[in-house]
Amino acid sequence: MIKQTKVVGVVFMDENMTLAAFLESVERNAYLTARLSLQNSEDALDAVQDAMLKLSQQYANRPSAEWAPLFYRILRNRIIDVQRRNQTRKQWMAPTGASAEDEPAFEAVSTEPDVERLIDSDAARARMDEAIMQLPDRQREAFLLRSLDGLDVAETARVMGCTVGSVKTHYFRALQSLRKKLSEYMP
Amino acid sequence: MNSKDPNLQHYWQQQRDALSEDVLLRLRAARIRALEANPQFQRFRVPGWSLPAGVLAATVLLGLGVWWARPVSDASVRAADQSVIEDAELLASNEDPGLYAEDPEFLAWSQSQLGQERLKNSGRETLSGDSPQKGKP
Repeated sequence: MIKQTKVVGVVFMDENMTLAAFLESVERNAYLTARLSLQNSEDALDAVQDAMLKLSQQYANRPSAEWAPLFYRILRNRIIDVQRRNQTRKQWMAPTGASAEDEPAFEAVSTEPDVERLIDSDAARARMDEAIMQLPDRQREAFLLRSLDGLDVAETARVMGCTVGSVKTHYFRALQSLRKKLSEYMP
Repeated sequence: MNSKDPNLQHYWQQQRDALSEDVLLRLRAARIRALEANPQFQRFRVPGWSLPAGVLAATVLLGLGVWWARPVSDASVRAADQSVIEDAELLASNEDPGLYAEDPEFLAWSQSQLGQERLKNSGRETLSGDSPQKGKP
C-alpha cells in the first residue's frame, strides 16, 4: 500500500500523523500567518490557540490529510473575526474628524530605503513584512497560504471559499506587488 | 518569485527561527490545551485517583519484595556460619590442605576400615552376650 505524504510548509505530513504532531508542525507558520494578517502578536497567539482548539474538539476524527485545509480555514475565519472587531473598535475610539483609515495599520517603517538598509538583512526582512502587511486581504491570504503554509491551489481555494481561478489571480497579483516593492532586495 | 522560490523559503525559515522563546512557549501551551480538549485524548487521560493508587500498589509490591528476600531461617544461617568458621580454622591451621583434598582411594580405604571396625564391634558385643541397654538396670 502506498503511503500518501504531502508537504505542508517544510513538514512532510503522513496520512497516519497524529494530531499532536500536526499541530506542532503548523504552529509556527500559523502564528506567522496570523501575525502578518493581524499585525499584533497577542491577537495572533489567540487566533492560533482558538484554531487549534476548534480543530482538536471538532475535527480530530477527520482523516489527517484534511487537517491542514480545515485548520487554515478555521484560522482564517478567526483572523477575519479579529480584524472586524478591531475595525469596529477603531471606529468607536477614533476622534471625530479622523476615520480609521487615516491611522497607520502598523508601526510606521520608512518606505524609502537608504543604502545602509539595502545591505542589512534585518531591514530586508522588515521590509518584506511591511510589504506583506500592505497587501489587500485576499491577496495576502492567498500569498500566505500558498507560500508560507504550503497549501496547493485547490486547498487554498477551499480555505478562502473561492474558486481556483480566483486564488491564482490573487496570488499572481500579490507576487507582482511584492516583486515591485522588494525589487531592490529580490532580483 | 513563486511559492517555491528559494529566497522566499529562506525568508520564511528565518522568520520561523526568529520567533522568541516566549512565543514558542505560548504556542506549545496552546497546542497542549487544544489536545487536552480533544474528547479522544481525554479518554486516555490518567484519572486523578490513579496517583495515590499507584503509590499504594508500589508500596505493597515493595513490602512483598522485602518479605520475600528476607533471610530464610536461623538454622540455615547458623549452618552457613559454622561452615565458614570451619573453613577458617582449616586455613588457619598449619596442616597441608592437600590432606583434606578429595581422594577417592583414601575414601574407599577409610570406608572399608570403618566397616571392619563396625564388624569387630558388633562381634564383640555378640560374644559378650550383653548390649549396652541390657547392662543398665
